[in-house]
Amino acid sequence: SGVDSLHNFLLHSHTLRAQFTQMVVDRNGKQVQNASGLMQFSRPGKFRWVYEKPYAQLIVGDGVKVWMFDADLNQVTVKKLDKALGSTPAALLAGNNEIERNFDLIDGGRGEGLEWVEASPRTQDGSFEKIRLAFRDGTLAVMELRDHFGQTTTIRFLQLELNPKLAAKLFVFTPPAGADVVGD
Amino acid sequence: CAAPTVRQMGAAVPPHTFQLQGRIGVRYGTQGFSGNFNWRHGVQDDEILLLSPLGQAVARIERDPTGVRLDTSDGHYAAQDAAELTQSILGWRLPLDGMQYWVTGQQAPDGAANITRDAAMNVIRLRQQQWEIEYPEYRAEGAYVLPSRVVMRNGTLELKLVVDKWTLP
Repeated sequence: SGVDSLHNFLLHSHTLRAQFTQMVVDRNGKQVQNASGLMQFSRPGKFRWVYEKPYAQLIVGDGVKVWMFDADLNQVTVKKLDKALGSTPAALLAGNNEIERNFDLIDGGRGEGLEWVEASPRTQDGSFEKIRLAFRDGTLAVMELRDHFGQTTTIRFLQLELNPKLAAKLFVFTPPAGADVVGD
Repeated sequence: CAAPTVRQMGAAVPPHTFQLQGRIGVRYGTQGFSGNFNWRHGVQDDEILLLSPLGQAVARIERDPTGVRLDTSDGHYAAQDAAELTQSILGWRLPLDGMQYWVTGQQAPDGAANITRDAAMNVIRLRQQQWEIEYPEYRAEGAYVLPSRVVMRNGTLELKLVVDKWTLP
């Protein structure tokens, strides 16, 4: 079932690397964003989420804080990891058992070779109303995020590598010289 | 909202309505926010969505002749003025009244404005209503020449806007 696939995935994926595409659709079904990039994580709490298109944005979780850098804005926004958990699905994927602790999990059915699991946050303070994850043969394939405004983000993972060797420096972020740094 | 009929040589006067997709970087002291910024500006109404990089709406601001509403994941708020509302709820002022003109490189109709233009007659600096606005970059958009980067400062508050896409009537 979807819930079993999620548990197995969390159990066996210590590190992970994958390309991803991200599409955001608003409440009227209009596509408002199309992005793509590379995602890597190293459990617990470390991840590097790089947007390459349509513009350069980087989100790094170093296990303590989450750093978000937008190259065009030349601004770094820093959040404590636990505060960011609600708003950074990457943190959920790279978390210890946050998704089991903070979300109610139910099977989301099966279709087109995908097994779905639905995760509803136990507390409503995060920015998600619902998260859906899909697995193909036990491997993470799709993450769908719905917020409180009817916006739906669909992230598809491609060329996923399970437990690759990832350099520690990938999960360390140093603000570039001259960048504005804001947050805690 | 009648736009002033300031004739910019070469470029047509920017449209009264537009849609803008871009990113906003907010900084006030050591605090701040950055995310995607989608703005639909109509003749009588506005809808602004502040999004996280992953596309989640962090806040939605709606304005129409009756007033301004701000929705976040933990509440719904209303006021007469967008700047007051965003200041009290989000901690920083979004000067929507002036911004609907400033973002297209125009001065707002009310309040004296101090303007500096470049050789192509595009506004590169504008001071109005305690705001200082700079336009480091413009881009041709059909018949118009519109800012693709805008920096707005008021005291310790700085709003940096990068416009990725203009959608014009």
